[in-house]
Amino acid sequence: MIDDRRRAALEAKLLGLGDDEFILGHRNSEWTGHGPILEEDIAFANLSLDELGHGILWYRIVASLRGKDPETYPDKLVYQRAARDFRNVDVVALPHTDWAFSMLRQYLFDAYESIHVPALAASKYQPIAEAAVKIKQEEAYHLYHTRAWVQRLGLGTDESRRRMQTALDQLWVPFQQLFASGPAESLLVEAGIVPDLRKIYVEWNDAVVPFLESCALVVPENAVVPAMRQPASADYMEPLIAELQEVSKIAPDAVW
Amino acid sequence: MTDSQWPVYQVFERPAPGRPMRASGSVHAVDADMALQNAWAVYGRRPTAVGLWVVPRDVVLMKSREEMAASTLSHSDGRGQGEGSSSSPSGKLPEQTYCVFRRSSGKITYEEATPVVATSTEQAMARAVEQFNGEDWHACWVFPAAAITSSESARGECSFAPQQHKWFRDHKSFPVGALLREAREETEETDDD
Repeated sequence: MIDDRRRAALEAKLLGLGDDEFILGHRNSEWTGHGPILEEDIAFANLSLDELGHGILWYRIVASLRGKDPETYPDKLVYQRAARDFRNVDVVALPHTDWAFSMLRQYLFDAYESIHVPALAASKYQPIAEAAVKIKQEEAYHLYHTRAWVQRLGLGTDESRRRMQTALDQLWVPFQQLFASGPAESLLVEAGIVPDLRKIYVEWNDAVVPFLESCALVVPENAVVPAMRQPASADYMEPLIAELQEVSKIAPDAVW
Repeated sequence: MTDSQWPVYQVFERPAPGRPMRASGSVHAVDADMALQNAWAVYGRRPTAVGLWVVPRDVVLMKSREEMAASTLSHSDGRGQGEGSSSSPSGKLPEQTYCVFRRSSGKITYEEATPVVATSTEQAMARAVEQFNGEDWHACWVFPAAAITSSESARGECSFAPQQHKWFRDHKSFPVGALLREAREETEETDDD
């Protein structure tokens, strides 16, 4: 079922999935200690940890495909990879501007995962199906949590609504990148290994647009899904990865 | 800027199916729904609780044994607060169920005790204490059962189930103790020199 061309496409796909989750988790973890209240600080840190954990699940499959140890290889991918080799899209790497921005990004991502992950759970490639089942268990809570916040901020005060709208205007176009297919991804779709992202996009759009409108937000109309998935810009990734790998560069052999 | 101090909710957890609830702590939240979410984030994610309740703190009456003794003295006309309620004119104040949580001496947590039926929180407190019947108790909380928002009722799509599937590392996985001992031994060796 997995020939060389498919294997290359599969590796690229899994790295994209893992990096999207991991880099989003890392960006959100920057809120730790800075959340609006202690309880939400903890809740959002937990969400970040979940996303980091999901990233690792995808990295483990990459490890198996490459004949590496699934226990140790994810650390190598995170701490020893050059910024330019990460395969996440821009939108998960964007530095946050305020709480509304991070909460809305997490909501849009949770809504995407709530549709994408169950489709991945139906994959004919067993390791993907198994990872997706684990991830699915946590996504119901994520979506519940971030929906509640988008609603409160959208329907809250003039200031909270204004901040939410600004965040939506900043995020909406780049968010479309998540629905662009990677290299030779059609081979995987044909084989029933991953779902067709065009279908995921339609479902996601149908779910989030009415919800955002019900939160008094105006959804920008100028969004187009790019023809091809592009790795995130070095402008975002270089500083992010430099910080992420700072300690491991100082003490490469540290054990924790 | 408006007051940033959100209301406080007391959090209770069920440690295992069929076991009594016990107090976990408290969370800030703008409403009960957010309180339950925050409670789950703060107290429920480790695989310890199978159910959570949140109750607004301002409906919870909290008394220590000393405070109760003092208030009984101040009502030394012979009519304790809990007495006479069964003969109170019917229809005036509806009776309702109050949950009772008791902290025994030397314990740090409040555990669920048998609920009581009363017409007011004060009366519920008096009846709860009566029901302890001289048994060991150090402090007592009562609140109307109707004030509970529970993860155990229908919660639709949101699962507050314990995180049994998570591969989180608990504190035992981090060799902090061993490292500290090692460091201490090294220090002692240096001291011996």
